[in-house]
Amino acid sequence: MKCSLCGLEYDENAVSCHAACPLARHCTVVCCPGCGYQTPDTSKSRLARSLRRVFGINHAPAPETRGHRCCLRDLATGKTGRVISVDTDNEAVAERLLIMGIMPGCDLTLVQRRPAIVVRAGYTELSLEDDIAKAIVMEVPA
Amino acid sequence: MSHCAGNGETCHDDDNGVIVLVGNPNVGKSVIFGALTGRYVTVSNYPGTTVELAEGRLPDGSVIVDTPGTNTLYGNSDDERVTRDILLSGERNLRAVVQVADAKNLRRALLLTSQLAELKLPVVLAINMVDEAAAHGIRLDSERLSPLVWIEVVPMVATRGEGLDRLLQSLQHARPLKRLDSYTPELESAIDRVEMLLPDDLPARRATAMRLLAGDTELAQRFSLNGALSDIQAEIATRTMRPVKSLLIEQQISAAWRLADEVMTIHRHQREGIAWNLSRWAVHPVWGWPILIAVLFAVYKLVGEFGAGTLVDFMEGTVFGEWINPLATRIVDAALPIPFIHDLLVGDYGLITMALTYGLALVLPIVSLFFIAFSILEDSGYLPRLAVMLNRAFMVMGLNGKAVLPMVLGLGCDTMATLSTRMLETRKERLLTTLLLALGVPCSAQLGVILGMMSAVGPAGAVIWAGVIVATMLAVGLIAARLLPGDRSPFILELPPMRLPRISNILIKTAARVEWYLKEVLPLFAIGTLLLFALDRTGALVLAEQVASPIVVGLLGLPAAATGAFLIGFLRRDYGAAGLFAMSLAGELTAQQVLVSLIVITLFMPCIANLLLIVKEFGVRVAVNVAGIVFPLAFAVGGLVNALLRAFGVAF
Ligand SMILES: Nc1nc2c(ncn2[C@@H]2O[C@H](COP(=O)(O)OP(=O)(O)OP(=O)(O)O)[C@@H](O)[C@H]2O)c(=O)[nH]1
Ligand SMILES: [Mg+2]
Repeated sequence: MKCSLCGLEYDENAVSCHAACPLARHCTVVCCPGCGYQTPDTSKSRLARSLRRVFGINHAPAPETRGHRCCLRDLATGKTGRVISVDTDNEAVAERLLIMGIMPGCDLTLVQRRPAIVVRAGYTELSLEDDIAKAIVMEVPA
Repeated sequence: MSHCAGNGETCHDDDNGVIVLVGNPNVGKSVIFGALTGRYVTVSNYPGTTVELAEGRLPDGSVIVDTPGTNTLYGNSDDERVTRDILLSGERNLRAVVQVADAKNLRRALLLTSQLAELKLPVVLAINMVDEAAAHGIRLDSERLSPLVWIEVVPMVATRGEGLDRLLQSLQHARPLKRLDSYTPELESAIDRVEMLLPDDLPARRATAMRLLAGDTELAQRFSLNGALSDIQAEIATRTMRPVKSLLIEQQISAAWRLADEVMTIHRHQREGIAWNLSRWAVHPVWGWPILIAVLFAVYKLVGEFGAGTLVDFMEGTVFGEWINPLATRIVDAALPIPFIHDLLVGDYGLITMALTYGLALVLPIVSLFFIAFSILEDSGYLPRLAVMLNRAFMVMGLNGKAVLPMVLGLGCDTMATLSTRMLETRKERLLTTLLLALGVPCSAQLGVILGMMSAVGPAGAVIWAGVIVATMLAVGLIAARLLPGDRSPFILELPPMRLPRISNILIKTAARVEWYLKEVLPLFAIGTLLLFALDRTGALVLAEQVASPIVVGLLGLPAAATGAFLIGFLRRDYGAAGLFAMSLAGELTAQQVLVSLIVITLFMPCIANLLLIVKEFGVRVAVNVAGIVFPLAFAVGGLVNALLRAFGVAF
């Protein structure tokens, strides 16, 4: 994290105020070790996290999905990945996706997740329901 | 000859051969059809605008047919079947096929091309929307594509008329397509085997065989080969572990994509302009809602306040109230001083004082403005985005967001919207949507009158009205979804780009709709008035008022005179609403009575035409059931609201 007052770059997980303070476990504020300036750590606050989700702003994707496989629904918004497979028993769904150009090897960008999933495939924008997006397995570049 | 230009009826003047326009949804087929024939068919910016065939004539006199958009020839929704039938049935003598493609989506277009190749018909490929593709930095080399598919390829910008002449010329040189795909040997032998089962004189045997393999039970029944067919399908499926349809499409797709990538160059990356940002905001989890409310508010301002307020006041109060009606009365009384004629034309239920006044003064200004607002929404591309916003609510009712399109179209005309349910995939969805349309979606004319009456009940009344209607629809949808057999189809909807609506299209579309209103609705108003006049003359109206009194007066707490409005409401509910509007303007209804009568008339069946269309699309039984649910429910909900309003002593 970079302090917005003095510009010092520091590791927000190792700041001394958290190491010493008994309330640190639920504390959502970090203090800059250089100047003491307090910054809210939005990744720690549940409220901030859900607000970000509502507004469709993503924090950094969870580390385990980076360079790994995940389903389209769990892709970070704004991220592009490559379709690996479409795992659905519903033939109608598989076929519709195929026709719209969603098949293994093609690139998809997740535009938003709510109120319904919207993806971009080439020059086509598509809206899908959650269950379908869960069935599309993606590989996200590291 | 000219009879062919008429209302979608087929011309049996096919000797010269018919030309068919096909293509993916929303690629501009109807724009091209309009430009070539001079006949207007609805053009809107969402997939699924055209749901039935439209016929017209080219300058040289040959017949051309516009079809519903389809992504494959193997689709199974009702609108896709319409396209399948004209291409495969062999009933029409087809001379050529014009495939219209979206230059931004060449891959998907070429999938359809490769399926068309199996028809062995002469084809011309029109690559439309070259302007939008260029804005995205996509360049298509049509000179290179043409020899690769053996047919003429015409780049076009249909909305600006570019390429039309070349398209007409190249129709003279239409040739059969090159086969683009090659199938695995086992698939080929399966196609051959099915082909053997088909009659020899069928024109598109191979294409029909492929469609049968892809699983079209209706077609299989027509050739009565369900058993033999499923054997072949099962054989392939066990050998390859995949359904035949997917195998076919996959092999076609890979060929199509290879070809598309060969002729397409992307020399600049997508420009994310205003349209893209608007598109994002319109479906944004947060900003999407204020935008939705702003859109509704703007429509209300234009239609409800300006139309139903200012314009109606002027037309009703001044034009008809001070000029036409007094003048007509004087002329009639001077020329034909017979009481019967007086009453027939300018009496309480007079053709001029009632039918014309309601039709032209109360409803026409409102529907015209509504049609304008509606056309703008249709052409901007907002409607599919509304479907994204409302998807969740619709899932509760056993539908998916796609059903938002017919429901919103119902605000224009419920009958057209019932036809548009063809774009939905399952019969269950079509039935549910038809029922909900008949029950609770007020059409433009009625909506306008309702907005006008709202002023009597104020914002609180408006909220109660909307709440009751939405709650009734949700409840009925919820229950009907559980009772009706079948499934909801999965929600996959393409969002077309947001586009700046073209004023010419909006004016033409509005004019076409206003003409429809004047031609089809006004005569019904006249019939309704005549009916009321006859009932009034014979004393039957008084009788009806007495018979209906337990319901109208007892249950709903309305004056007995409202019976007349409900009676004509059976014919057209907006006409019934206009009758109630007139009563409320005359101060004959209290605010509670206005609210109750509004709710009842909103929940009525839209009109006779709607009922007849339901008969045509789904059969008499469904129509009777729908009517049997809607009418009693309308009175029951009205009675309930009346009782609640009284019990809680709500006043406005
Ligand atoms: N920019 C641009 N827009 C076009 C062009 N041709 C058509 N459009 C727009 O594309 C939209 C769809 O046009 P339609 O003619 O209704 O398409 P369709 O193929 O008949 O669609 P369906 O009947 O739904 O299958 C409209 O908003 C047109 O204004 C074009 O060449 N350039
Ligand atoms: Mg069309």
